[in-house]
Amino acid sequence: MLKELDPLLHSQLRLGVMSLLISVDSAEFTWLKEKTNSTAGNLSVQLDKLSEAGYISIEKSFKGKKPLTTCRISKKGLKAFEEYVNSLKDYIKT
Amino acid sequence: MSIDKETLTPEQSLDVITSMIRQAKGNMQQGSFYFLLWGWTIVVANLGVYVLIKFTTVENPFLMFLITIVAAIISIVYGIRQGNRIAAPTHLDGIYKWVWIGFGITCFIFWFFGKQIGWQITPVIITMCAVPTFISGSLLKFKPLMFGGVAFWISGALIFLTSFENQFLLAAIAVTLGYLIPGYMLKKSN
Repeated sequence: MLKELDPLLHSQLRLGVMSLLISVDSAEFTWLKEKTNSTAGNLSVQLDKLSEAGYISIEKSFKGKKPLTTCRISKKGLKAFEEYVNSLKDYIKT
Repeated sequence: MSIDKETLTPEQSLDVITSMIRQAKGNMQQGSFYFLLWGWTIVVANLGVYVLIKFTTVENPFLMFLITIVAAIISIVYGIRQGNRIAAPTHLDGIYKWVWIGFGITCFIFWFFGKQIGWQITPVIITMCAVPTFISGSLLKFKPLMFGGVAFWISGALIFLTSFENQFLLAAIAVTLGYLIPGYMLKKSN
C-alpha cells in the first residue's frame, strides 16, 4: 500500500522552500521569496507552518538597521523531505 | 512558479523539487579577491626578503613578512562584509571558508614554531598551499586553480632542495603560478 504523502510538504510553495533549503546552508527570506516567486505574506505564513512542525528553524536578526529573517532546514525537516521523496518514488513506480 | 496550487500530482512535486534545486545550484560564488590579495602579498614579501638577503646587509630581512598581518586584517574585514552579503550560503561555501581558515591557522603554527622545523617554513608552507588551492579548484570546478595546487606541490618539493636564500625567489614564482595566474583567470571568468 502506498504511504500517504506528508501533507505539510505536499504543497507547492512549502515543497519549493524545502527543496531550496536542502540545497543551501541557510537562506534569507528575500532570497526564498525571489526564488519561489511568491508574495511576502504567503511565504511568511508557509514558513511559520514549516517552523511549527520543526522542519525548519527561523532566525530573526538585523542586517545593519534592516530586520533579517534567515531560514535553515532542521534534521527533522531533512528526514521528512527524504521520506517525502521516497514516497513520491513509490507513487511514480506504480 | 505559481504558488496558489495546493494539490500536486507526484510528477508536479518532482518538477517543483528539481526546479528549485536547479535554482539553488551554482549559487556558490567565490571571487578572485583572496587569491590576488594573498598572491601579491606573498610575492612582494618573498621577493623583498630575497633582495634584502642577496643585495643588502639589513639585519632582519624577514620583517618583510609583517605585511602578511595587513593582508590578514584586510581578509577578515572583507570576509565579514562579504559574508553579510550572501543571501543563501551553500554547504560548499562553508567548506571553502573553513578549509582556508584551517590552512591559515596551520600556517600560523608553522611560523610560530619555525625554529623547531629548522626554519624550513617556506617549503613547508608552499607545499601546504597546494591542499586548499586544489580543493578550491575542485569546489569551484575551476581547473586553473587545480593546476595551481599542483604547481604548489611541485614547487614545494623543489624549494626543499634549494639553498635558503633562493627559497624566497622560488616561493615568489610558486605563488605567481599557484595564486596569481589562476586568480586573474578566475577574475576574468567571473
